[in-house]
Amino acid sequence: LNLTKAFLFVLGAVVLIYLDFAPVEYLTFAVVLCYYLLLAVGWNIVGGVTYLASFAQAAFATLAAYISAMFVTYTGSVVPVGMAVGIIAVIAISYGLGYITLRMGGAYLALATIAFSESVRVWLTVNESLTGGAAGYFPAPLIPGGTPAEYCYLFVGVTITSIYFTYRLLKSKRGVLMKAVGNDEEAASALGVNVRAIRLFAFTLSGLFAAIGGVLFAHYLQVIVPADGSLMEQATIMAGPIVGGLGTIFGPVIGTLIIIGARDIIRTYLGPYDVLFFGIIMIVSMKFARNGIVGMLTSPRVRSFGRRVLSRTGEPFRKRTSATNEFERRSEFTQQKGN
Amino acid sequence: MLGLDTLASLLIFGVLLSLEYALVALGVTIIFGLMKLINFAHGEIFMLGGYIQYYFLLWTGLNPLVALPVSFLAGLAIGSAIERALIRPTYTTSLSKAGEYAVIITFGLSLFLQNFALFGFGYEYRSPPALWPVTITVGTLSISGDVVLTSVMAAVSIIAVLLFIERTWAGLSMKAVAQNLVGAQMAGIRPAWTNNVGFALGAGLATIAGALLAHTYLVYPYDGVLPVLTAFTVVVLGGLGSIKGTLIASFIVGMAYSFLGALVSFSYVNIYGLVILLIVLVVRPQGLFGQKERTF
Repeated sequence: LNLTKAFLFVLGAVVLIYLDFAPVEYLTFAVVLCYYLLLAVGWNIVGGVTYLASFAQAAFATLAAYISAMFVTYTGSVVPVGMAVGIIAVIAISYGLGYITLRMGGAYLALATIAFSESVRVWLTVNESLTGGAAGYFPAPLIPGGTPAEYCYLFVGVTITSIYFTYRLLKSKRGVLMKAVGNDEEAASALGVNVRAIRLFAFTLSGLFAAIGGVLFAHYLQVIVPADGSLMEQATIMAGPIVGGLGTIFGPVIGTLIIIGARDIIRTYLGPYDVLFFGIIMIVSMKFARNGIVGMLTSPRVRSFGRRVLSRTGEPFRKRTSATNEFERRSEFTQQKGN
Repeated sequence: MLGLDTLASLLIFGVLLSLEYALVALGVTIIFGLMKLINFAHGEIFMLGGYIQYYFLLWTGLNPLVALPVSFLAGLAIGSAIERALIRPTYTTSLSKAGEYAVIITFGLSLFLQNFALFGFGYEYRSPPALWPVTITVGTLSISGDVVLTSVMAAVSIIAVLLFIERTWAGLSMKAVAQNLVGAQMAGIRPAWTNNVGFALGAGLATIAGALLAHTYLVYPYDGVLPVLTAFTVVVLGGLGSIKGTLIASFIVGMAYSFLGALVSFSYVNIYGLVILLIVLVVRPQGLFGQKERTF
């Protein structure tokens, strides 16, 4: 158990205990944040790691929510069964959509997912007798009579598990293959990586994350509307990883925290200008800081500045490695020889 | 089950619809053919064209046909500015993953423009005065003059653009860049210039389509979303980057919408597009006239 892990452990314990005493507004915010974190971390796998622009994340979440809610209403089964049905259905849909569109380049996936998410929204709105139309649908509660703290524990638990799973995935062999495909698909293909299978895996996995987030949030909030799957929601989901740093593990977490916090502040104090702000922030960060906040913090310039501060001499601090030692030993040796 | 006059009216409706779709989709195709990027803000430039038409007519009170060139010129300026400010890094610098950069940046632009219109122009539905306030009656079929004149103007614009591409120096150099970038550069064509002209032309087509369709449909901040989705379907069906494919595909999609809308259900008209798109991607992934890319 090293120092970082111990620190995270203590921090986690403090937060979990605090949740029991926290005001309700904080708990609601935490639940909403967890929902967006799940979706953003899932989108980051396909959009950040394998670098495919998918616009279907919000649509997958909404679809899973509707399937789960309607399954529970029409069959009278318990909520967890409906949630499982919703998640499995969305995995099948995302696999099918990816299977069809990933045969061609990334542009086709972007076009097909944007058409898919608009079609889902239109279908849910038009089909009023089945889905309640634009007025929305009302799913059964996941925990009957559950307090905000109980929901908050559930959401925080699921979210942390998902982030940890993504962290392990990116460290694993499959994660490295995904990064390779994202960096240069031709080079990866030349080295024998099945590019299409890796992309399909990433796309389906993002669908799974969206479905989990969608069903949990639907049965927590107990109201879902077709607009949940709109491109505006998709923009909110995408803005977090883009601002934080695409393809990293902590980038989407930091970015989503900032974006959802900013959304609440903008909506409370300025008005409904949040999506306008997200559009601007997407353009600005793609144009000037393509690697996001994490990229800025880990850029050579910032790191050398940090080392200079740490070494307190103004000179860049050089990390001593065995190679440095070896170099100095040899240069001493040659100097002696010269004398 | 189908009477002859119903069939005729569906055919005419289909042709009118396909001319409108062809006009919207042609801009997407030109931009994709040149720069290999999809302009997700196309629908919002279309929407801006509608607002330009509406406000220009509101303030000057001129004939709507006079306002059309104004919308077109405004579209050229908007497109040129967007290309210069945001799209140029995708081909002048050695940007890795330029396609995905362009997708996210044009998506961000589309959100920005939608919300800009929402707060700048308001969420009300607006409608400019009629283009040609008559009703044309052929047998049992009656069509509003607006729809007819819109389609005629769409056909005129499409023919003008095709002539521009085939007959002028700028158009031919655009074609050269689309066919072979390196070869065109060796022949002394600057891609930065052709791409700027091409993007401006695409945006000009979007604004003129928006201005024309503003007379038939309504103008509101989200009015570009559904036409441009249809345009994306058309472009994929025809094969990305192929102008001939786009024109034929828009005819197919227009007919499909007209007949399926009448025979099955009109509420689902925008979903038929997705169904057609998916069928095409299964059966013939490169579209009707697209070139087969290397795939993995």
